[in-house]
Amino acid sequence: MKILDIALKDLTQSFRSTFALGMMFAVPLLIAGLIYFAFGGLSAGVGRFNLPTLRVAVVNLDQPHQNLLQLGKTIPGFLRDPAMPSWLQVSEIADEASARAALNAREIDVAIIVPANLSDAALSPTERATITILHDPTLTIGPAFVQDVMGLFLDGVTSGKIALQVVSDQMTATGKKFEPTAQAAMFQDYSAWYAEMQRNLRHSTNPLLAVQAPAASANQVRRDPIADMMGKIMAGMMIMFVFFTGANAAQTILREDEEGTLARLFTTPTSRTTVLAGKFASVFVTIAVQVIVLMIVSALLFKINWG
Amino acid sequence: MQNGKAIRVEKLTKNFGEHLAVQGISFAVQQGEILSLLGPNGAGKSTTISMLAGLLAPTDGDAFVMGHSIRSDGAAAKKALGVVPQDLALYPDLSARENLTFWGKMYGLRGSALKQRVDETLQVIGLADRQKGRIDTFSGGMKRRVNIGVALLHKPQVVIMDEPTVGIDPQSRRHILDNVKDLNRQGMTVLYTTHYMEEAAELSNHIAIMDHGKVIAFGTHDELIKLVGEQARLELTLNVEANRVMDAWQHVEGVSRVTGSDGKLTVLADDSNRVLPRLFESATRAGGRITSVEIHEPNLEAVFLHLTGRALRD
Repeated sequence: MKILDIALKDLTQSFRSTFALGMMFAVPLLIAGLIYFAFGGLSAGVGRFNLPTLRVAVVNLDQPHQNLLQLGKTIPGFLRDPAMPSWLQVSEIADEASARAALNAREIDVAIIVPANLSDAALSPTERATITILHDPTLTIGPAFVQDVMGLFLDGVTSGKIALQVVSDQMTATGKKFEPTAQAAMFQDYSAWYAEMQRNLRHSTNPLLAVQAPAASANQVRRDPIADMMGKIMAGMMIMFVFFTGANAAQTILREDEEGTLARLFTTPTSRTTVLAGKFASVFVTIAVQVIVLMIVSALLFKINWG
Repeated sequence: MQNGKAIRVEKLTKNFGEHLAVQGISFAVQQGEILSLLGPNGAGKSTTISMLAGLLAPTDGDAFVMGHSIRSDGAAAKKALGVVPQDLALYPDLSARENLTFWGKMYGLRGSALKQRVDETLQVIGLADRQKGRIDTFSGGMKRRVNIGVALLHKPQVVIMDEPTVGIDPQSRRHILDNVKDLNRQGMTVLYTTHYMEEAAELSNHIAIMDHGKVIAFGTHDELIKLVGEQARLELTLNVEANRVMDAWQHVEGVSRVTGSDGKLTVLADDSNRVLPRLFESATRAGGRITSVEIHEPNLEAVFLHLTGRALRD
């Protein structure tokens, strides 16, 4: 009982001290608050580190001779696929000069120039076509993403060409003629299959490539990265200031020694063990209160999820 | 109760290395009396009290508080004791009531008994109307009163007061001395240390004079005075030669001895109030005039001087 009495007395003294209260609660929250205000803007107020919208313009100059295959026209649709990120904004511009002007005026970020012979080159074993990507030189991530996406598209075109070549060689070997319309039809079929395969690769209910993040990742997607960062900072603050509180509370033994109250305690029928246990109980309760209060307040202020 | 003795000290010794702070002292305090330990700073008074209060372990010897040995039954001895330390030992950021309540709990008081004792103690120390005030807002005298109140909470049979009036204003000092007398009238035994001989003389039934860790004299005030004789010493200056009055003064009633030369004489007398007018009259008859008088009544200062060759406040 005397242990609790001593602990209660120490707690009363601690919670009456403006300095102790400041170091227990105000200072850690203040420092965490300053960090929050310094870096909190990175989340753009929606709680995620979102990339800015990437404005992509497709300049489709593809002019197939026999209109058997129109690959250029499929590119905008390919970029608008629901599997593409929402920050990709796709538009179409009639010619390369207009695209360059729009890029200079910063109306668009990336321009994809589709050459006139893209479809013809796809059906010809020898012809080559080059897709040009123009982009704002100040941007890095967005153009790199577009480059990767167009690389995927060209992988499909190239593999289609290889398939056509194989079939053509086999038909020639057997003395049969491979008609251009049949080639175009086969390329179309192959393209459809390739697109389906790409979709199935990750995004179908039965994907070929099943990418699974840990179970918690579902929550992490929704979690605020700033809150996560603040959680780590606040935890660090709590550890540091809990040490301070512990040291301060332990210091009460020295203070009592200096003020003569410790000696007076020993003149009462109270053992030294009881006095020491009371002091430790006070330290424990003070730290527990400090941690609980800091967790609640920081959860309210900085949206930290302590769970 | 050890034949009515509240405190019995037997050959109590305390050494700090080679320094002999208390050298085998023995004395007893009867129940219901006030005993003062009188001595200069460093005489060993506080060390003796610290041993009785359980703060210091004796090097040798023992002491008994209400029959409980401080060496083998310290907890019981502490229960019977209330200690008023020389320096304030209170929590400045707690109120007077909170301080008393906390210390009451440390003495084992609980519930309504605790509340009642705190109320009574606040009345005794005269701070009932300031009970909610924080100690650090109190004057020095008020703090001293709370300091004493803490020792009275559990109604101890014996109270030890270690120079409780050091450094306070005359009004608070008076209040404290009156408190001590009141407590004693209520039957409380008080062991009081001081280096103010006036306090020892006013309060004590018995006085133990300490010096260099030893009790050099023990007795009632009157008994100690007798060590230096009970006569007052009068130092007089005349405007004529001393030998013109010496013979006449030798025969003045109440005068036991006259010594001196030139114009200065020393007269030993039983009662200075009665003798002085006669000396003035005799001097006038002899054609002389007394120009100055110093009266030295026998006191504890003189006793200490007599015993040690040093003044009490040296």
